[in-house]
Amino acid sequence: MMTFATYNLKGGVGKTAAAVNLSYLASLGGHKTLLWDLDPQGAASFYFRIEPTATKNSATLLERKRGLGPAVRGTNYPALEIIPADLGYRDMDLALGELRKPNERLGKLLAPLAADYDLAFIDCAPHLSLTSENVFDLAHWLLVPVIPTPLAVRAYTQLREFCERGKLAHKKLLPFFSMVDRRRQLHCKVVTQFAQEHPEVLHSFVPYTSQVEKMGEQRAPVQTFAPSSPGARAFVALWAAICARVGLPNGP
Amino acid sequence: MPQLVDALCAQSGVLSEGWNTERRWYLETFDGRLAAAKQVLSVVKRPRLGTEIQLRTLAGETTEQLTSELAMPQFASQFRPGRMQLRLAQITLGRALLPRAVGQLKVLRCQCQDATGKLLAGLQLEVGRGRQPRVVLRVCPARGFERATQRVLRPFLALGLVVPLKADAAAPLLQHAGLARCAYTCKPLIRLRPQLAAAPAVAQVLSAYTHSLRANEGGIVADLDGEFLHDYRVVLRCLRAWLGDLKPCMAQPPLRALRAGLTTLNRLTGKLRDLDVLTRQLDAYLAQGDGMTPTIPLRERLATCRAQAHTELAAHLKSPVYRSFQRQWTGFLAALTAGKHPGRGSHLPIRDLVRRAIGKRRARVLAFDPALAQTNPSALHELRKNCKRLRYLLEGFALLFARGPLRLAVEELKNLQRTLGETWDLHVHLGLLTRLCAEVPGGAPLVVVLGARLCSLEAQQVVLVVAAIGHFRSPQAQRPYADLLARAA
Ligand SMILES: Nc1ncnc2c1ncn2[C@@H]1O[C@H](COP(=O)(O)OP(=O)(O)O)[C@@H](O)[C@H]1O
Ligand SMILES: [Mg+2]
Repeated sequence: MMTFATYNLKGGVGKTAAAVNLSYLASLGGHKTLLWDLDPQGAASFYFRIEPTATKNSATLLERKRGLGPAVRGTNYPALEIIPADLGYRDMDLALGELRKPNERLGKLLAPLAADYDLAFIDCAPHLSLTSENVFDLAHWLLVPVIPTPLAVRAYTQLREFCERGKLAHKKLLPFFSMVDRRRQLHCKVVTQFAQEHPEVLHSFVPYTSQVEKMGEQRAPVQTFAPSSPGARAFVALWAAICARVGLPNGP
Repeated sequence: MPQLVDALCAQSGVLSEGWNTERRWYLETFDGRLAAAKQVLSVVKRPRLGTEIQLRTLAGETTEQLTSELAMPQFASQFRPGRMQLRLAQITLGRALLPRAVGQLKVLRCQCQDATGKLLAGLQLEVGRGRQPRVVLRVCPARGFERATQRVLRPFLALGLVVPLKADAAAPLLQHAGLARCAYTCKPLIRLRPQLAAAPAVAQVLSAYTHSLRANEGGIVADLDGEFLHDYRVVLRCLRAWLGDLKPCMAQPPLRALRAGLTTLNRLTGKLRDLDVLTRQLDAYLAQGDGMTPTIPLRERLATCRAQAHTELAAHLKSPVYRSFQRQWTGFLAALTAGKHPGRGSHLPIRDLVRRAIGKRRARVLAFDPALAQTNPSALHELRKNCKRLRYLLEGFALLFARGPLRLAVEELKNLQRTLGETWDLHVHLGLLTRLCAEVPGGAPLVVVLGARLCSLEAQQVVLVVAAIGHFRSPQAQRPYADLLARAA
C-alpha cells in the first residue's frame, strides 16, 4: 500500500480539497483507496457525507485492539473508503506523548489495513506536532499544497529544513501550487521562482476556481458534479503528474 | 416480482438507475480452482463503460471490482497489477480462465441513500431467463453501513418479498451462475480400508487418477497453458509406476498392451514438456552468454520444435489409437475391480502390499552409490526415477498411513528430488540445445557458450545432489521411513 499525506503547516491552503479529489481520482483509476481523515475538524469526512465519530479520548483510539478496521466506512464511490475524523483526535498529541516510540504509533495502527488497499491518503491537520511527525514517518509521499505567495513559500522552505534537520526523508516532499490565480502578477512570479529553487515541485497546479469552493455545497469531489470545469481538470492533471513521479499506473 | 420492484422504488432514498439487460460471463479455470476457493469471477460488458470484472465470494460479498479495456481476460497475469490480480494469480496458479457459463440477466440497479445523500447500499435486482426465472436481490452495503441498510430492508423482509439466502449461499449462487462446484486435484486422496484386498483397492486409486488424466486432455489439446500437461504427466507417471510396483496384484498378460500405450504417451508428452521447460529457462541461460551471438534463430527454432511436438501430441490424443487405448484401460480397471485376472498377491491387504513396495523402492534409493553421481548421469537418472516412484507410493496411498511419519517421509524425499530434478533438467537442456544449435545457421558459437555454462551449472548442482543424498541417508531422515515400515511387523 502506497501512502500519501496532504500536509502543510498552514490551514486553508487546499490540503483537504487535494486529499478528497486525488483519492477519488485514484479510486477511479482502479486503485482500491483509503482516505484517513486525521483532522478533527472532519472536512474530508464532510465532503463524503459522513459524520465524524466521537471516541471519548485519543488514548482509546490509539489502543484500539481491533485496529482501524471497524472505523472504515464506504463512500458513495466503489473503490474508495474512508476512516472518518474523530473528535478524539483533538488531544492525539498528548496521548501519543505518553506512549513508547511515539513516532511510529499511527503507522502501526494503519499497518493491518495495508493488505486491503492499494493506496492510502491521509488528510492532516495544520500543525507541526507529534501527530504530523507520525505521518512523516509512515507516509511514502507528502503532498504539500503551496499558495504562491512569499509567506507560503517561506513556510514550505521551513518545512523542508525541518525535514532535513530531523533526518526525515525530505525526498518524500511533493509540493504543488494550490489556489493559483494567474491574473495576479505576484502568483506568476512566485511560481516561476519557486520552480527554479525547488525542482521537486510537481509540474501541475490547482487554480483558484469557484467549482472547488462549491464542493462544500455539493459534498462531493469536484469531478463528480463539474467534470469539465477547470478545477476538475486541474486535479486530473495533478494526479497524472503524481502518478508519473511516483511510478504508479494511472487509469485502468 | 413487480410487487417487489414497486415496493423498492417507493422506498424513500432508493434511486433506481433503470433496467438493463446484461450478458455476463462466468470465468473459471478448467479444474474449478475459483469454486474451490469459494470465489466467483464474472465479466460484464457494458456499452461505453468498458468491461466490468467482478470477483466476489460465494456469500455474495464483492471482494474486488475493476473496469478494464481487456476484452476477455484469459490469465491472471493479464489483469492490471493490483490486489485482484494477486489474488487471482494465487488461486489460478497459472491456469487459464475459461468462460464456463454465459448468463443473460435483466438487472435493475438501485442506490439506497440516507437523507444527506450518503450511499448506504447498492441494490441490484437480477432476473434470470426462462419461464420461472430465479430472482435475486443482491445487497451490497457500503462498509460501516450494514445496520443502516438492514433498517431499510426490514419492511421487505417483513412483507416476505425477500428471503435471505442462508449463510452458505454457495449452492444457490453457483446454480444461479450456471456453475457447479468442481473438485479436481491432480493427485486425489482415496480413503481405503487398510485390510481391503489389494486388487480392488488399487483399482479404486487407478480409477481416481484416470479421472485426473481425462480432466487435462482438453487443456493440452487446446494448448491453453503448461499446467495441463504438467498434471497429465504426473498422473501418467503415477499410473506407470504403480503398474510396476504393485504388480503382484495384477495378472500380467493383459497389461502388456496397456504398458505400451502408456509408454507412447510418456514419450510424446515428455518431448513437449522438456521443450516447454527449456523455453521457460532459455532466457536465464542466455543471460549468462556473451551477449554478442544472435539468439533469435535459436529461439525461433525452439518455438518451431515445440509447436511440432504439440501438434504431434494433440494428434495422438485425438486419434483412434488413443481412444482404443482408453477403452482397453477402462476395461482393465473394471476387470481388476471385479477380481478377474488376479495376480498372486491379489488378496493381500492393500496396506501390506504398499508397504512392501515402499520398502523395495526405498532400498533402491539407499543402494545408490554416491560416487556415481559425479560421473554417470544415467545412474543419477535412475536414482531420480526411484525417488519419484517412492514418492508416488507415499502420496497415492497416503491415507493408509499415520499422518506424521508420512508427512516427514515425503518432506525428506522432496528435498532430494528437487536437487535431482534440477540436475536432470540441465542435462536434458544441454542435449536439446546442442541439437537445436546444430540446426540453426551460425549456431556453433552458441553451443560453446551455452555448453560451458550449463556444464558448470551441472557440476555445481551435482555437489548439491551428493549432499542431499548424504542427508537422505542420515538416521534422522530415515526415521519416518522406519516408522512407516516397522508397523508392518
Ligand atoms: N483551488 C481552489 N479554488 C478555490 N477555493 C478553494 C480551492 N481549494 C480549496 N478551496 C477552498 O478553500 C477553503 C480551504 O480549503 P481546504 O482544502 O479545506 O484547506 P485545508 O485543508 O488546507 O485547510 C475551502 O473552503 C475550500 O473550498
Ligand atoms: Mg483540512
